[in-house]
Amino acid sequence: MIRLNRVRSFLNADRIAALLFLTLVAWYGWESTGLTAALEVDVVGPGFFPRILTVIGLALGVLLLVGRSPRMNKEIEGEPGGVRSDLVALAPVLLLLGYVLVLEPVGFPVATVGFLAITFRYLGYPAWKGALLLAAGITAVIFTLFHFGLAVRLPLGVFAGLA
Amino acid sequence: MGETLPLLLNGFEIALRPENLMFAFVGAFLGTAIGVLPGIGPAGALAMLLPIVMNLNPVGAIIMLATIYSGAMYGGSTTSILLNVPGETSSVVTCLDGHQMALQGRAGPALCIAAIGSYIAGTLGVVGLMLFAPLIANWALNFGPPEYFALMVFGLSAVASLSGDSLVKGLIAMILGLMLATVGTDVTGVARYTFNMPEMLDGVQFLAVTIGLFAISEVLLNTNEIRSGLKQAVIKHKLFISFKEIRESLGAVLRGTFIGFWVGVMPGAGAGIAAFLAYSVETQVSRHPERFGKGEIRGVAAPESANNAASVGAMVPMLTLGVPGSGTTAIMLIALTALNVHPGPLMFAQRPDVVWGLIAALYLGNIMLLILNLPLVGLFVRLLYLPMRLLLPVVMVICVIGVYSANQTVLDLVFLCGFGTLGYFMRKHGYPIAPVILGLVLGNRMEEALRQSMIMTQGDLVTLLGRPIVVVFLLLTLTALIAPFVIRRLRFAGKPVRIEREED
Repeated sequence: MIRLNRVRSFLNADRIAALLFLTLVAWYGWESTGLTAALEVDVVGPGFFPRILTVIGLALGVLLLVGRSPRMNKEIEGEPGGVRSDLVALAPVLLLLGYVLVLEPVGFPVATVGFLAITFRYLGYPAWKGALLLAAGITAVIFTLFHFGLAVRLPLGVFAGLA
Repeated sequence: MGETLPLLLNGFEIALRPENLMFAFVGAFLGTAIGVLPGIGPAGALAMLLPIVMNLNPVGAIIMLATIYSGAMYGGSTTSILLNVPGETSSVVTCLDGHQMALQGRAGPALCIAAIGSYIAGTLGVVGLMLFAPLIANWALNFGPPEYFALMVFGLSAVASLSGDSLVKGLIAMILGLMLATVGTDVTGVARYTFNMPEMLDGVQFLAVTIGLFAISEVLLNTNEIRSGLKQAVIKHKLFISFKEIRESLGAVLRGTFIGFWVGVMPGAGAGIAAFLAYSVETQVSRHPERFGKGEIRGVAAPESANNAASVGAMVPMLTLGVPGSGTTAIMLIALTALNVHPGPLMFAQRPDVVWGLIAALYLGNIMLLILNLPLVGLFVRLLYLPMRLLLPVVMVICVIGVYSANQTVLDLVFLCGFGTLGYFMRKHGYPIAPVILGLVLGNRMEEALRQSMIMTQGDLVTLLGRPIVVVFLLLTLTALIAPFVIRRLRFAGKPVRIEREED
């Protein structure tokens, strides 16, 4: 139990970030060793700059891991409801991811109405019917502005035949 | 000066065309509308509105970018004065006296002096830009690859060290941006970090990264915030300022402008530090320092002038050297590059129409704000009461359109989601975003300059220390890296300097 508490107090947000960053930089540096020059005259090579970044990145990652930033004390204690608030905040990005993945197959108008209505509801809009009507109205305005007003090519999906 | 005046007049001739005036109006309006929303500074406003701007013609886009920038700066002041809610770091100081004035029924004079101070600072800032930018551009024409490399090292280090509350975190953000810049095909045609995906050969799309890190992360942060309980200050007694109050504030405006412009020119320092410094100087030179913090009009005039002058000053390194000194100017650089306009010393010689058009547009933005924002201040404040649950999803849809419209690939949109999430965690845990964008923007040019320097010196970079400009920039880099430790020990107006989330 004591060991678990020690691990928890060591693994604050900055240290988790440091470990993730070090992993990323290590992979980045490893990949750079496989980069070979396409031209014989290229004496520097495509991996030179990435290797410099790797060295600096590893040093910074270690500094973050072992150092104490001004925020560390606060974060050891943890923010009340930190993980919960992250989940609340990140749900819209998951909805956004779903939206962008269906954007081309179903088209901008349908996907946007769906995304807006669901997100309105998630963020506290009281009724589905109202959310859907509002989403449809806003989608129509945005579509008209960008598609017709600014000539932006938006995927039409199921409406492609009508264009 | 003799040569630049006709060019500036030509810039005005372009900026004053009816369609461009309309773009200026829309830019100032939208910039202010988004700028008044708490927590959304000029960088966030620019990122959110990039999708709209990128679909205009280059001249219209540049004018709109400049006026959005000015509008967002002014929007932050409005909420600082009326609601004690600063829109960005540079408006924090305005709250001290501005909100006190509003509570005393002097919101009108506070808003007026903010607009007038911004206007004068913007005007004098443009004069400064006109005088110094061509000189710097001419000087920079002598730079070789080693000088450029050293300059970019300085610019990046300065932004990384001054834009967050931790030097290590700022530098990590910078390295992350530089790593992102190496994705795609390098100058010799070798594909790097592309996962064998053809869509990745051109690298990570700037728009997806910028809009994700600034705009989507802003939406996610706002999802958690409760917007109720804001009480609007009543604008009573008088809306306009008296001549006596203007006369009283003029010295503060001029001092704020001078300080702001030069602080703005320095990479990384930004409008927030300019405002703090101007306020501090004003308390030192005033015969009645005890009035500050209790509704002293000069306590609004100085920081407001300083932050506006700083925003013009920040254009100097961006336009003359192609090296942005802040997140906001980095976003402007991205937008200009996407519009096939490449800032740098050669731009002054090759595209004077663009340079002077942009400078004229910046000036125009100030006039627009003066004539547009005071009568509409009530409307802008009402925007604070728009239900965020409706506004935030709409912002996300507009971001999606902006990113999708560039290349029509879903991969860019997936990156948008990824960088939005990354931006959310970075901001929540005190990692500045501006260095990521700057690293991404400058990475390729920095690598190219390094490669050329290596070839020039046959791999012996130590010989570069014989070049005086390189040495000066390296010394400046060193200074920038130790600056946060020095600044932390300084105290402004009896309060410790806070340099957090400086993204402007």
